[in-house]
Amino acid sequence: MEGTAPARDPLPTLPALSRVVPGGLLRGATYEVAASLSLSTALLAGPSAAGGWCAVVGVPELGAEAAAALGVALERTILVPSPGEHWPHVVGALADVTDAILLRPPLAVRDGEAQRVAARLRQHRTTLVVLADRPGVWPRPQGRLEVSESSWTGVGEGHGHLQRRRVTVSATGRGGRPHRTPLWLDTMVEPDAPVVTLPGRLEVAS
Amino acid sequence: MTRTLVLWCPDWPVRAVTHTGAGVDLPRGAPIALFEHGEVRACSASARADGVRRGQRMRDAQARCPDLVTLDYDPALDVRAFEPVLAAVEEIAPGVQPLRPGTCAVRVTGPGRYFGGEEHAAAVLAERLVELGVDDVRFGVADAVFAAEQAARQALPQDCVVVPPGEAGAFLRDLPVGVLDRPELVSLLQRLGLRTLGAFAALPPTDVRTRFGDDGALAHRLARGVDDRPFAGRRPPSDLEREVRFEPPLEDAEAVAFSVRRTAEAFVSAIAARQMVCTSVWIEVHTEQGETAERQWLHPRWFDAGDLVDRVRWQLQARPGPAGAVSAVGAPVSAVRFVPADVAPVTDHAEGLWGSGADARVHRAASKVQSMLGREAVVSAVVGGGRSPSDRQTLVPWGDPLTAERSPVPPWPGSLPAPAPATVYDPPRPARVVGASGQQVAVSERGMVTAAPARFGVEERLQPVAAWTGPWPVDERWWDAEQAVRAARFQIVGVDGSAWLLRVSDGAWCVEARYD
Repeated sequence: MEGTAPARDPLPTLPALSRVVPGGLLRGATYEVAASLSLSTALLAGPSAAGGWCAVVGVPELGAEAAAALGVALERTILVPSPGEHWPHVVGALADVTDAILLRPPLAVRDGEAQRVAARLRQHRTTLVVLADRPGVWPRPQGRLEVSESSWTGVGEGHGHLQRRRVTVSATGRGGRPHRTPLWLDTMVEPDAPVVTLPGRLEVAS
Repeated sequence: MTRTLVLWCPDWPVRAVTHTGAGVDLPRGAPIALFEHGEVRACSASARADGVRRGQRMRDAQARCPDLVTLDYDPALDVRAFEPVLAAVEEIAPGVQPLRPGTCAVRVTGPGRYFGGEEHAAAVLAERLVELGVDDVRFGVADAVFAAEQAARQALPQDCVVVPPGEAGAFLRDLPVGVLDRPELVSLLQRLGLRTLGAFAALPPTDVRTRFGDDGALAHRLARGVDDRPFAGRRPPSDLEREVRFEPPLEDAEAVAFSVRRTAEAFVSAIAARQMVCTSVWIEVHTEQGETAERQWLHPRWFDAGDLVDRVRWQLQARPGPAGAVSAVGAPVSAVRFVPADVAPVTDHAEGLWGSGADARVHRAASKVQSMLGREAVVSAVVGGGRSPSDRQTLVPWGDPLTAERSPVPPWPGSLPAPAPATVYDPPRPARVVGASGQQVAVSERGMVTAAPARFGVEERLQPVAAWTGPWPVDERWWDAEQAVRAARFQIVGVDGSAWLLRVSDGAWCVEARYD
């Protein structure tokens, strides 16, 4: 497991998400997801449903019910809600036994720190999903994912309830152009026909 | 002649709850009862004074004591709360044997001589425990565990009852047979007209064995004051013990951990050579000053050499706190000794065809993080029942049984429709919701909004509302004036496509969750 390139075999992913990143998510690679906890947990759902262990580090507000609905097996998920400054050690210790780790790092990640963690993850072929409050928290990830558009159905002016959410996920590889995938992302992840949705436009379920 | 001191904290489950659990905020002396399967499992002295008894049903207990505080019994909390007490006793008298949460035994020959008499040893312990906040603690000293425990039950708070050597039989003679804690045997003895331990003890031992079997014979020996149970069944064949000495003594925990590896390997392979595995081990750490710190470790499967090295490292590091902290022993380590506490034939633990290795590795990794950050820092999530998103999930410390705080089974009217929010704020965050003319939106008594929400914000910045729904009234625990919650929930979608779950209660808005 030497070298800088992650191993070229993909991580099990939910079918709908396998199209988000061309070539699929790789084992041992790092992906940055901007500000969507449901997209991040959906990335864990693939390896978790395939029988692997996952870990969530630094996300005290993880909604367990939503994660379970998306396919994350909670009984095979280790949560470390507040690792503080010890997060590199925690990720290092858990990389040994998990297939994928969801991490929200502190505001600033030093380059060297990120490299050490990334090397450890490559060695154990564990995929890291970095939940970033703003883009660019993690230096040079394998890919950056972002929910660029989001709209909800089912709720109107004082009636109904949130039902389905249609999103467009933009994925940017290293030096590549953004790749946009329309998806349904709520209690499940389903592919959606590529349609143009205006940001913030809402559709009321009939 | 070994003597045994038993330390007994009455009503331990109640104390555990009021010191560390759900009952921390209760006023001192409030009547409390802990319930298990709808029956009283333990109650406080004030509740007992009102007639609450163990085994009562909740309704009966509440009828006797209307202001009774009812809480759920949590055996794990009992054990956990007792841990600091054990550690404190261990500092003074090594080799403590926990009998059950709230009760432990100590061999008193050493400490008794050291502190100048058995009562003095008890007084020293009492002083230490009072410092810990355990004010009701009672001691008994006798030749054996059973008699010492009975003596402790007769002691006053922080006092010690000493049964002189050889007089255990006389001390026990007048006690009722009920103290044997064997309901079937006790009921039978009472029907035979044997109401005191003395009457039972007077029977010939051979007849007792014929009539009541092995357990009856053991009870008979207890009643006679001949408690020959091994003090702490923790000495399997001594040729399995392994020790490593350090010359000169080592100060650094990592250095010790590095140096014990070969000994750990020898220890494991010696046990393996007998087709056995070690599932529980005592690790003794000897320091230069001649002090010994020992601790028992259990393993979910069995120990291999790496596990033992980890345990040595954890034992040397201060338990809560970052890795590499100063050694908990506080002095250079001159020797480490592994003593098997429990060995089992390897066939009892043979792995399945596909092995169960993965989970043991996971357990080790999670325990390692726990040793770095503390026990509560590594958790598993369990989804249960409840109305608010934060009620519906329970975080259980790694290694505890996975049970939700609220059962998912009863219907939870008013719980939220799917999808569940991806982000759950616990505690909720303050928010603002205003109408078109900037006035705060409120919900009237009759459950109507005073204005349609037009703009909202979680922190400072307000953004326009694109869509909203609500109010969904929440009227929780209306039967309890203290805990009653009157609130209303809203789902609000912002123009940026973000969706939020908000709650308004007494005019104050907060964000409970976010659908991101």
